[in-house]
Amino acid sequence: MQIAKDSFFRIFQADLRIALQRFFENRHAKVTPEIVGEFVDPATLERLIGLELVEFDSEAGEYRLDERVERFFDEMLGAAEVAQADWLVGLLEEIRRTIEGYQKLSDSAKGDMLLRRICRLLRTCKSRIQRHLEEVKAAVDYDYRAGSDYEVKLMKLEWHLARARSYGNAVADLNNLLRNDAFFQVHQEIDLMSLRRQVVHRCGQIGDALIDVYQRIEDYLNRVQRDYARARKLIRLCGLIERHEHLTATNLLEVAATATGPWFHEFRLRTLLSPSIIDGRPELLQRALARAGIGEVAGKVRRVEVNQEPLDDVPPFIDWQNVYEAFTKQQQDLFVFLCKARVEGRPLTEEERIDGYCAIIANEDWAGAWDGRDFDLATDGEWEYAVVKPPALLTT
Amino acid sequence: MNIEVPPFARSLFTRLCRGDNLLLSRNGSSEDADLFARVEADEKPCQTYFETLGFRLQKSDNCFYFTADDEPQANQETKLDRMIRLMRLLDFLSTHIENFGEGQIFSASALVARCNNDPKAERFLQFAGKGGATNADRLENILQSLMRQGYLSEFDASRQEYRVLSAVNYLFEFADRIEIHGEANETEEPNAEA
Repeated sequence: MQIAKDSFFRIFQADLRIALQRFFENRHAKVTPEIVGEFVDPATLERLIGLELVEFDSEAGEYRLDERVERFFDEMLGAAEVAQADWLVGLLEEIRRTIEGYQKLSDSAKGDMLLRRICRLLRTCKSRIQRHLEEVKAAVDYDYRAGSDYEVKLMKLEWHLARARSYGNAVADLNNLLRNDAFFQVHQEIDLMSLRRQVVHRCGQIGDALIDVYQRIEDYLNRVQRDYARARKLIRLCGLIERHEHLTATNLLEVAATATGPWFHEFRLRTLLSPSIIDGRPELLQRALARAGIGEVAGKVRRVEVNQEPLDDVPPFIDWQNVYEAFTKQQQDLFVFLCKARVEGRPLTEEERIDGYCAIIANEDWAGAWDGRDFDLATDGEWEYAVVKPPALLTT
Repeated sequence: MNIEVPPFARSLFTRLCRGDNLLLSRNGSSEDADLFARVEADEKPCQTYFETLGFRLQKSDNCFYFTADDEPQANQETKLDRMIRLMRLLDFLSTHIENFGEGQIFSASALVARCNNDPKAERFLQFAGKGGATNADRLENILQSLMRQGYLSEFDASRQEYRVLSAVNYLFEFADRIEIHGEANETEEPNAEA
């Protein structure tokens, strides 16, 4: 990222470049007239102010980048700057050094001063680690959405992932130090204890939030990689289409054959009305919708009855002609035969059996077979019925 | 069988079956976004209900659309033509609009500027933007057509800016399903030759 940043500042004149970069790098610090002499010589400073790149705030007594310039730099450089976790590593080192110094001291006055210093460092950690997390999140979102090519995006996101991980490690180190270091076990001053508890709590929260950040970065990385791969594939595919090789070199035909949805179909309301009537006569459309069961609804859930039944419950269509023919080729009477007959692999229900019996007896085509004959009566359970023999037996 | 009809069934059905715009995007107009949220919350009952009427409510990445079992199937040749047109369109947009994808905002004038003096882009505009006298007109035809079909929306008319809607993910799905045979081998060729 350093290389990218340096190269970015090359858009400015050589004599302004270094000064601007320094102002930008120290934009969070107070650049007083004493310090500004280290950044830039007076003549260049005058030019920067004349060009409105830098301004002097006389009330605060400090020099700073013009607000618009600073925002421009921020946007152009991505949020590379804010994701640096070095400050926390530095603070952690400083806390460790201070503790070490405190333990080596015999002078209690100096000891108090070092204790106050540790408290101050912990306060800085507490106030800054949450803000840093928010900055990392914003930087990730920015670099994902900002317009740069796929490779730059991939590079930036990978960089953010590495940085977020190093930040997570630094937070974990701080957490460990506060929980396990003997210094914090021994010293029970109220200020120190309270700060320690708060920072430990904050570290726990940051650790949890960082897991979401890692996941978000990985999600973005996956999306960018997918989009990049797709863009490359489309370029190759169009090359093949230009050379008329797409049918042999790709599965385009297969994908086209199974493709559905709006791009491939003139999707219309299923009705006998022509599309021009559907579009031009809304009242007819309303009727068609009402018929389909989705007419005007007053904004609340309602229930409708639809004529759909589970497959198993749909009654089979029984061809009584076939049943009659099968009946004529055997010897049992009609009622007993129907009791044993099977349709679609299952016996007839009682209702179907009675329907079938009546349908066969009442059929005019077959009535000649038993016209003018007497039938014996028999019973089966609660049914009393006429014993109808097959026509062949009746005639003999 | 009793089925619960979602209260927005009518508006959803009308929205997805009329006109040219047959896709409901999450990031569409406020009415579309609202309808999308309601459909998403009641997705299952909605699918069940429309399935009994012969329509399948399909969910792509952040968009909904209908398909039906008895949709008039275009013949193979027509479908292949449409697929080729789709791929060329996606290639054109992906090449000339940085990060072309859902939510992206782009300017038509910037796009025209990129296309001018690019023979490949000009060839595409002549192929796809029929009826226009200049590249700008042709591009305008294409963008208006995509807007009518619900893949784009107008973001800032005065600056000719458009926003890509989630419905474009439905198109990307087809690109993702296409495989180029022997792609892995070909990428290794330069090394092999060396």
